[in-house]
Amino acid sequence: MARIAPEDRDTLMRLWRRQVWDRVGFIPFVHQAEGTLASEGFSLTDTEAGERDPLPEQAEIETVYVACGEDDPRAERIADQNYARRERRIVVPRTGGVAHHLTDLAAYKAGKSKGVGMWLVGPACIPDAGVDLIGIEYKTSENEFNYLCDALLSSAGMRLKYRHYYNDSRNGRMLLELKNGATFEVRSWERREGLKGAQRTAYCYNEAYQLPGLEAYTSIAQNLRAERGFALFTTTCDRPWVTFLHEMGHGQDLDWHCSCGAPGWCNGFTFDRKAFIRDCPADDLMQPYLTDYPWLAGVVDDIKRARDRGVPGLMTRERFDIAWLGLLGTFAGRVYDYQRGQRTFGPGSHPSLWKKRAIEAHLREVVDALV
Amino acid sequence: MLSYRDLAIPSTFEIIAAGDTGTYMSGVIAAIAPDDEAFVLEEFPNYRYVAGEIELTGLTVGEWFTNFGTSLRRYTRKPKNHAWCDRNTNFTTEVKAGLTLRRNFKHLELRTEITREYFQHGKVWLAPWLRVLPYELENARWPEDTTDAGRYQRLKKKDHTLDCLEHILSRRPRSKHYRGAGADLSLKDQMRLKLQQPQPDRGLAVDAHLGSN
Repeated sequence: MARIAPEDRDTLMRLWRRQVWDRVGFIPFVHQAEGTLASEGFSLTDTEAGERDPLPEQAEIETVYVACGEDDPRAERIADQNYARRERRIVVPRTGGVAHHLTDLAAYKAGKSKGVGMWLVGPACIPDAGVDLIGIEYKTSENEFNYLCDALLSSAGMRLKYRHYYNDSRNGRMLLELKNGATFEVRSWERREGLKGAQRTAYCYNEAYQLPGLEAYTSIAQNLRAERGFALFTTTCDRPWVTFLHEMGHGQDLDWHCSCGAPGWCNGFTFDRKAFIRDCPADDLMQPYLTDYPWLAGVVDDIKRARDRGVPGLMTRERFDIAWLGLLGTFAGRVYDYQRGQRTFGPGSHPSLWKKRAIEAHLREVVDALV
Repeated sequence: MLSYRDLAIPSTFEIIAAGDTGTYMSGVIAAIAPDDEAFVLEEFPNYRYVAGEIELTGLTVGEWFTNFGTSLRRYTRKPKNHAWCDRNTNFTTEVKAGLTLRRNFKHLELRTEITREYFQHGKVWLAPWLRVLPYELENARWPEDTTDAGRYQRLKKKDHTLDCLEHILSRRPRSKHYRGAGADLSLKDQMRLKLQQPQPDRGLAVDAHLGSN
């Protein structure tokens, strides 16, 4: 049970996390940085800091990796044919301060697990911090736990001393307890009864879509109250219920943050161009991305050529949206072609169904909007 | 903010209602336009959704019937009304506020297909204050496989208000205007009037494969 005040704890975690990142040489992708910064009370802007330009007041700088083409003057070869450049982005204080509920909705292999692992190094500096990594099975959280342990324990990491360290996913024993009492334990949702009645610094839900729904959080959220702890949700958008996390993260409650739509190519370490071309059902799906990622034009041409040769894409549009573009799909299996907000009638669309006062109010709104 | 008080439904529209009874109850009132478009005006669920989970609002059965029946009276301007409901309902006589539930014997597969037809042709419109019905429409799902009896019915989960809309549309309702001239006459007189009029020569469709008559 950590005894440091939440504000001090958040500051310590931020400083310690950056120290670990520097040590292991971790540079986050944009979606990884956005979530981490939101938990520290900052927002990542799209603006790069000039070498000689003074920073705005209270602003800081965060270096991120952005995927680019080979011909980019700042391109660094990441793996195979994948390149990325480092951008020094300006970071400003976040409206609403620290976000305690973080969602990362991204494509497969976009770096969600690594991002979580690198976030989790933060609580390691807090004495007696308690963090649970929750997945549908123990193995679900294996990657995140391994990234965390590598960063804290390995010779390339911080070489911290520990009291207990177990890493056996088959037998359900994945636990790291450091000398300062900070504990990281992997838990299975199948044994959720054991989660109740504890006091925790953070819950991390991995592949959250596999969990039954938000009850995985609401049933144990009280354990985070004492320490004003964090809840992290990282998942692909394979189930409709994750839409709720997206809506909360972009809604009025500023304690929630959502980073969504991170495509597969943002992670140059794992992006497989051939698999991408094989799976893409149609090149028009890539058109919206060509402005921000002009280097994808070559990939689009390859997709067109493959389709013209009669080689079909292996995924449906919806499956491709979820798997490669990190988008919330319309979810195959839907009975009605309908999304909330559609098919609504009002004074503008059907004036004959409304009283005069409603039509007048609508016209006033239209005029105000124009003015 | 718009509400049902701002509505002015023309008299040529037909008002149709449906209800679903049980632990979770709901009702829907819709207006059918002369061109067969359905406008869903109000919903009456005794539950709500909170973060995707269903929760009763605490409305009693009597209160629900009173709300639903009174609202329906407001639209139809008749003291006694009926609403379509599932065939296994326990409420078969007039309950409250002049409301009687009538059993709709169309089964789920057919109801769903007819409703999908309406959506595919853009014939359904929803009032902007509806909350539960849009959520249930969005979350209606097909199952992974057919049932043991070989039926392919949508999953019966979080669908009480949706059931009501399907009951309404499965009746393929028509507006009053559809009855054409002599709308005030009884059905028998309307048929007599129609038969007295010269019938148009529809012409028999000739299938060339059948040869000449």
